Amino acid sequence: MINVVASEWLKLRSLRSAFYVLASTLSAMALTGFAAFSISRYFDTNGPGEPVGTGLSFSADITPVLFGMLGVLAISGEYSTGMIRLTLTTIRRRWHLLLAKAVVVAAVAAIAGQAVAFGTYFTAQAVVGGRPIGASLSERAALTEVLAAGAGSAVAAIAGLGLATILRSTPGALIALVALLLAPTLIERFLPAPWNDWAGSLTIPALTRQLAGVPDSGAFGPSLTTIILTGYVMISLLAAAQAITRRDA
Amino acid sequence: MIEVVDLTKVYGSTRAVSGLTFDVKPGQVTGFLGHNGSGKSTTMRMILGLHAPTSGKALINGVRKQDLRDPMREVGAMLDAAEVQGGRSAFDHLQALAYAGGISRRRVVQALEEVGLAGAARKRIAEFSQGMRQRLGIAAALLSDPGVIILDEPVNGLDPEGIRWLRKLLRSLAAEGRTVLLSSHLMTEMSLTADRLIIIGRGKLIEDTPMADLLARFQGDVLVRSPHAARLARVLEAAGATVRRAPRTAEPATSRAAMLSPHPPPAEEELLVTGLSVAAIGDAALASGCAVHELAPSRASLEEVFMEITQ
Repeated sequence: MINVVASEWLKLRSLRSAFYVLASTLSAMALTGFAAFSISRYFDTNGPGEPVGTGLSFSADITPVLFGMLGVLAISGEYSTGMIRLTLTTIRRRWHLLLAKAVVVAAVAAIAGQAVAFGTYFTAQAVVGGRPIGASLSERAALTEVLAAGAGSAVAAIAGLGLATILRSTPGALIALVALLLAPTLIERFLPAPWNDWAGSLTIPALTRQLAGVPDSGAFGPSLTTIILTGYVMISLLAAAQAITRRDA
Repeated sequence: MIEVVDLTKVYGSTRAVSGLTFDVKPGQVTGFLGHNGSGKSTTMRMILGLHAPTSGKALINGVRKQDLRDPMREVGAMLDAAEVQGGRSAFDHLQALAYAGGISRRRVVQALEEVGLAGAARKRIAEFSQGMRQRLGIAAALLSDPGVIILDEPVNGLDPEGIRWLRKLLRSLAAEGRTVLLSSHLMTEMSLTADRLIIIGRGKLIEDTPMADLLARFQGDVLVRSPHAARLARVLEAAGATVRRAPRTAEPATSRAAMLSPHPPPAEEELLVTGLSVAAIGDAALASGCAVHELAPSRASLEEVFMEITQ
């Protein structure tokens, strides 16, 4: 199994599109920077309004999409080129391949997602400067909010990997990924209370905040959020394992 | 050793492979022939555990591919050399496979040298020619030094030197006692490389014979060139042969000889004789006093045989 993980790690490292996607996550910092800038301007002219805080919430919708794409690309290229057949002939059990890819993309997404979160936080604080609308990592709440970001990114990556394994197509999986990430927000509007609140709390950005216990971030507490995020991972992997083991390659 | 036992694959309403049974034995190169859509690739995919058989089984070294403990050590395959991710370098491509099979980095370098890609190891596969991709695919199949080797159309895109190289390589792999299953549409190449042939059509087995036996069964005419063709033809017909006058082919050598010589030789004619062996024709010619200038059995080419039996 460790052999297959090493193999998949090399494959991901030698995949150009993976680097492009990781580079695009820098856009999260830029977006937060803009938001922090305009809020700071407002603060300077009109006095206290909306706070910037850690700055993560301004770009929280972008990162799950990008890390989800990373998960998609980790396998969709093998399907589109047909290389999956070569890969599968060298492997003992098909789900070993899936699990190895999941380990690799989850680890990369967790580390990169964490790095982006810290980068976003520091960008926001740099823009805010001395104004009393930022946050500090010495506050426990701010630190946990930043530290939860890596987990959210990893879950998104595994969801992307699962979708691509099931759909076996890069465009198909990317469309499904965006649809799935937006689905709770869309459904929310058509549901009566308290269902709308629950549905809206199911998006990965919302779950990431709830995991950190950010106030007013959703209907669920950290422990229930952990269960839901684990559920996302389990559903993605089990459905993908069914798909990869049952179908002809 | 590959064993295919009553293998059947049905896609929807199409029977791609139907009750196929054959063995591919070690120590020889086995050619796998069939027209496009005859079920060759499907059969190879089932042997490699990529497609699940509808019924029957395909075994590698006695077990199904998915039950092999260390599949890479036992079987190496190239199904389609184009099925690689082009953004990666040749080295990374093979190294990724090597990691999965617990194979050393040294072996990756060695495999690249063996197929003549050492100089292009760091180049992106997207920049490779078809022949180079073919070589890379062969390197991947041989990477783990497997006892069973399955190659689908490995000759495609190779230059003449590459074709010779591959022929020698496959012959030597078989001589080492490995099992080699090879498909190709290039019949001349197949007749030079394979010891045994498995021919399928519409998913069913048509032939499973040694190459020499198959060609012998389709023994063609004997070409006889003689200055006494008309008399010889009567003699041979009397001996029970069927004789056809061959269409005259322009022969610059004889016409030049005719121009230079003051006494041109009597006009030669060619006969195509069936139903008598070369020896019997020679004896009959001697007995009748007819000179014979050429006596050549024309072997049926594998291509002709293949077209005939797959009709």
